[in-house]
Amino acid sequence: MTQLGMAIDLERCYGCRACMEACKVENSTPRGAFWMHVFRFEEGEYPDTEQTNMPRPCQHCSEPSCASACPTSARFKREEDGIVLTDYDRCIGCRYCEIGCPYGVNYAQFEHPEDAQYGYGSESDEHNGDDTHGSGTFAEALGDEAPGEGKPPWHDPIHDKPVEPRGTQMSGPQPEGVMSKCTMCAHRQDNPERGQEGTTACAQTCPVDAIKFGDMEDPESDPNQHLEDKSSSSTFKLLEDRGTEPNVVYIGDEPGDDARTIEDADTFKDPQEAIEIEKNPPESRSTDVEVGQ
Amino acid sequence: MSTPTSSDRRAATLADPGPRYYAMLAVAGVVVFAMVYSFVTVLTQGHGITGLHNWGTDGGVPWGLDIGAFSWWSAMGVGAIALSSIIRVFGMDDYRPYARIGELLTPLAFGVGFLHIVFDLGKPFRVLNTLIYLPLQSPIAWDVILLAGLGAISVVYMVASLRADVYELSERGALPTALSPVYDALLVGYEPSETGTGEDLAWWLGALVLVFIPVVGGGVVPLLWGPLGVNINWFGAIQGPTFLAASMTTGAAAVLFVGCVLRYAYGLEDVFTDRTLRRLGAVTGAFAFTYLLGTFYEIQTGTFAADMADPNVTMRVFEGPLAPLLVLAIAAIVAPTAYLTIQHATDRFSLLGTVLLTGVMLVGILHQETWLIVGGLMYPDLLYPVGEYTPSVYEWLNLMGTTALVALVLLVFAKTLPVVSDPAEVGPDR
Ligand code: SF4
Ligand code: SF4
Repeated sequence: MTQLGMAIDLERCYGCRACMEACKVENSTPRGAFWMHVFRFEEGEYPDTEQTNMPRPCQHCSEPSCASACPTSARFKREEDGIVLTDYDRCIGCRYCEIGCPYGVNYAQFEHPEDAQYGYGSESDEHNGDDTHGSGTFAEALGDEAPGEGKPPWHDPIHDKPVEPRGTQMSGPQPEGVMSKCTMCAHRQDNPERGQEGTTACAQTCPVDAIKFGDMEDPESDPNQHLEDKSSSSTFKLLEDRGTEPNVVYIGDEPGDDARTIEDADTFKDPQEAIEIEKNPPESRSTDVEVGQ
Repeated sequence: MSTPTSSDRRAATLADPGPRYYAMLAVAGVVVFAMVYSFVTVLTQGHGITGLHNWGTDGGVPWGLDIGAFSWWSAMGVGAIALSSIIRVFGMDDYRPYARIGELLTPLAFGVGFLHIVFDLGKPFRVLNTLIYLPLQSPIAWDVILLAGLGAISVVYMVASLRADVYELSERGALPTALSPVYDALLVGYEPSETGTGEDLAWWLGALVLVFIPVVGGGVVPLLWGPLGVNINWFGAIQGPTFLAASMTTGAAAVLFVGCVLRYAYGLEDVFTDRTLRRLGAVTGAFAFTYLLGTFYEIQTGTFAADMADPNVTMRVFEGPLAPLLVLAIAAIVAPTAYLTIQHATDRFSLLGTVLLTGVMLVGILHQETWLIVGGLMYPDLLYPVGEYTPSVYEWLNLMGTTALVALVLLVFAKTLPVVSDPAEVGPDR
């Protein structure tokens, strides 16, 4: 049996968040959705403080409580490789999986996908697409040559391919009203002709090779080899007491009770604020837009 | 005033409606229209315009007022049908008019509760997927099956109990002729000679409901949740009994409320007597007391909170901005409980006081249910930011709309169905 998973080395991770960015580009996730998120936190009393960074993908649990909670089995565990997926054609958007998951990795799409994309949320044509996708309006950006049958340019058509075992859409940005989360780059695993099988965007991008992706059941796999190499370090799984049997193993010390985030995560990720900033690009931004506090 | 016959009482509400009736109908209609507007707006613009967001990095709360309202309405349905069944099965004939209110209210409460779910879904038109793809290994599937089953029973139960009265009134020509096909349909297979047939059926259905309720009212879900190794931690042992207590409280309060309103509107002092209203008030208070105890245990043990909640969620809610809301919710349940109990103990009765405080209690329970849901989703574990939630105007419109819809249908029922059932024997007012 195969169970894809990860070993994430917190002793290597220095919190650059390249994995988060790589995931966004790879999966075209909308504003505010972080299928991969890196917690940056500190522990201890000044001056004896220690900072740690902890990347948090979906844990692709062996006993996924999200799937148990789903009333339509839209959320399910793929037998063949143990990836936990969301069937976009079946999901009713009830958010039970989000409530049932202890890790906070689920993102419901509350907006029209185009409105929620970076650079496209602004109502004014003037700034539509500025900064992130060149200048011009959304319609212009789409043009005649939009890949993926009229899908916007940020949308990799690979995500339109049906995903087995159901032959429905399960990868990439989800439609409005539907749930999604990290798929362990299911589109890479399922399309070996692209030459990216056995990799994920986050693992591939990490500049310090802190994320090892592979079959957790195979002693020869990257994650297991790395765990062996670092057998003197301590390891932990997140919230193991919840019984979800996560398949991400962390190398390093588990965050203690006094761990506190270094920056206030929501300051940077409120989609509405991002839209405000796009509407008022930095040089003209009025002072009442508060950033970074 | 001469003593009205029991038939007169049954027909009391059917008299030609006055301008006040039409005014209420119009107001309810407008509010229902506003609810439709809200649904269409959210549908076309996305749920981003509601107060909901993802929890975790988004700092939102994924369930809010619509889910609170769903709990409240379904609790009301469960409680109203349970109360009605108790009255019928145990032959508490003085209370039969209340049983009738319960029978009429239950399918409506379930119906609008379901509407709130539809409003809440990201893909409302896929709602039937829950039936098409029902995963039987999921405890939630059993929740769906049992609640849907109870909803179906409630409709049959209502029809079964109405038939005898509908027959009598239609024989008397008291029912609007325009709707005669509806009455004919209701009376299919009805044999007036076998007096009591409908009643017997209603009795058995009532008995069935009484067996069913403890199972639906929170028995099965915690039972399955534990031993089956499903790792969803926020449904624990105390949830079941608390939901049952919430149901009985909400159901009794709603029946009491409607009883008071009917008595006021149609001068039915001999149907909804001081004595029965006072007693039902005391019973409602007793249920409310049990409900409060259950909620305290839930809060104390943190079981009201969802899976990703901070382990210290109880402390966090007491320190946070929700604390005053909690106090308000409790006060809105405690004060009416005290009032209704004291009223019974001192043998006094005020229709205005009863209806007002019962209304306050109903709002208090809705507030409490919503508060518990939101509070349990505001304080996530794992270094995520605290969530924020303020219901948007759309969510408020939904709630006002479902309330208006229930009122609207009850108003229509009042002119088309025997809403008032006769107490078998009107005892002397104590
Ligand atoms: S981390 Fe959450 S969403 Fe991912 S498989 Fe586990 S329970 Fe499901
Ligand atoms: S939001 Fe979709 S995937 Fe999640 S529980 Fe509901 S139907 Fe299942």
